[in-house]
Amino acid sequence: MNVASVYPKVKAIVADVLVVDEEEVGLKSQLIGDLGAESIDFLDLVFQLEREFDIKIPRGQLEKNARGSLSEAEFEQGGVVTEQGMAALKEYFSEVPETHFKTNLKVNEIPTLFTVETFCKLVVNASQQERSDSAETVA
Amino acid sequence: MSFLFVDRILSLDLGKKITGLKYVTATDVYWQQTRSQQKAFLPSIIGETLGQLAAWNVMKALDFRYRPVAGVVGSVIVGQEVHLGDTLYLSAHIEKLDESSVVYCGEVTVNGQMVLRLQHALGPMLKMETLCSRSQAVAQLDEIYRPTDIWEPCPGTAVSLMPTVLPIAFNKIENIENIEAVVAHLFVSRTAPYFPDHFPLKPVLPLTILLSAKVDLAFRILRHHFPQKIVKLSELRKIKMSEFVLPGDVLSTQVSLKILEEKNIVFTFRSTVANKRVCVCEAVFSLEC
Repeated sequence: MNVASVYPKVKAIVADVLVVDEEEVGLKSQLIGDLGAESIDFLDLVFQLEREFDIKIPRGQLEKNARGSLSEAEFEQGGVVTEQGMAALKEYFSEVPETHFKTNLKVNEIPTLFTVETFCKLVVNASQQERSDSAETVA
Repeated sequence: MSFLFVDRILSLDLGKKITGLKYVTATDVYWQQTRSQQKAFLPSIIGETLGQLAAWNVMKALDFRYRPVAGVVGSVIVGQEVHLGDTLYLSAHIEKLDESSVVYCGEVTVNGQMVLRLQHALGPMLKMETLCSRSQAVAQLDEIYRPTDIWEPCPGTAVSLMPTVLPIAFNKIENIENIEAVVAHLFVSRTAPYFPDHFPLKPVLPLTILLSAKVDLAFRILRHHFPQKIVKLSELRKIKMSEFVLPGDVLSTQVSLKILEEKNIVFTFRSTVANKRVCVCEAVFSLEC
């Protein structure tokens, strides 16, 4: 399973959730900027992806993945992403153009970075995590 | 006038399942006129009752720190009509619950017959104190949580009673002659009787009231274009509430015709306030001669 293999289903779900034509949805489409997503849409999208791919996506997983090994204090100060935090975001959201990472990005603005590819990666990671957890249980 | 509909909770399995009942009586005000001139209890309010039942389980499971609000509903199948004197038996199952959201489904029956089935409902959580006081919510649950295996359905109405009807409709409808492009406007007034309970500290238009208005709008459009047909609502689906609608807002709704067949018609509704999307849904109607 990889981004390319999950993309068709993710694209269809994104189009359905955001009530847009599938033709308008691309791998690089920004969910908020290009497709008009609202906060309820992200909840709906995660819910639909969990059902479709039979995975669990804990709330806030994207931000947690992006933060990586950084502590909260290293990642953000007073609701604004630090320099270290920005570097971590750029590394995790490698599919997002550099120009989208604005200076003094607030933590609550991180969803503006999300693209369809971001959610494809999320599905792939969550699926791998499920398989790994199952293997550990069996062992 | 209360906007709390569950009369009694019959059983509660915390975080998992809840059953309850509601008597449909002359003190209820949410009715629609049917073709046979009888009054039928609004399906959206039956859905509201089921949602409130699920919400009681959620609130108790989270120790009344959070309250779910309307978010997304995959599908509401509408079954037989509900009339004065009926007893709604309500059953809700919680599929997933955490402090950010709840996923649930449920069914409402009258004398064992399905009147409403709700699937894939997703409600985001808000902190309780933004909507109402914790003590008030706890007290309201205490009033109705009286579990029992033995309960009596309301034995219909022996006396001819005419319940008061609270009209729920858009204030202004434009372009009804064009079935493909009707627009309607709702002026949201603070005087509406559902605001004190929904919610005490943050009055917002209930999703189910908006859905009732949309269904009423669809019936008006269909009566205009198909006056000889018997129209029945069979399903509401792909319902999503993305923003609160407040007293003083002007809500505009665009109606689009998605499917038109001989016996089946599907409308899509997109509602906005100040050009910002607040609610979308689809409504499926059957047309019979």
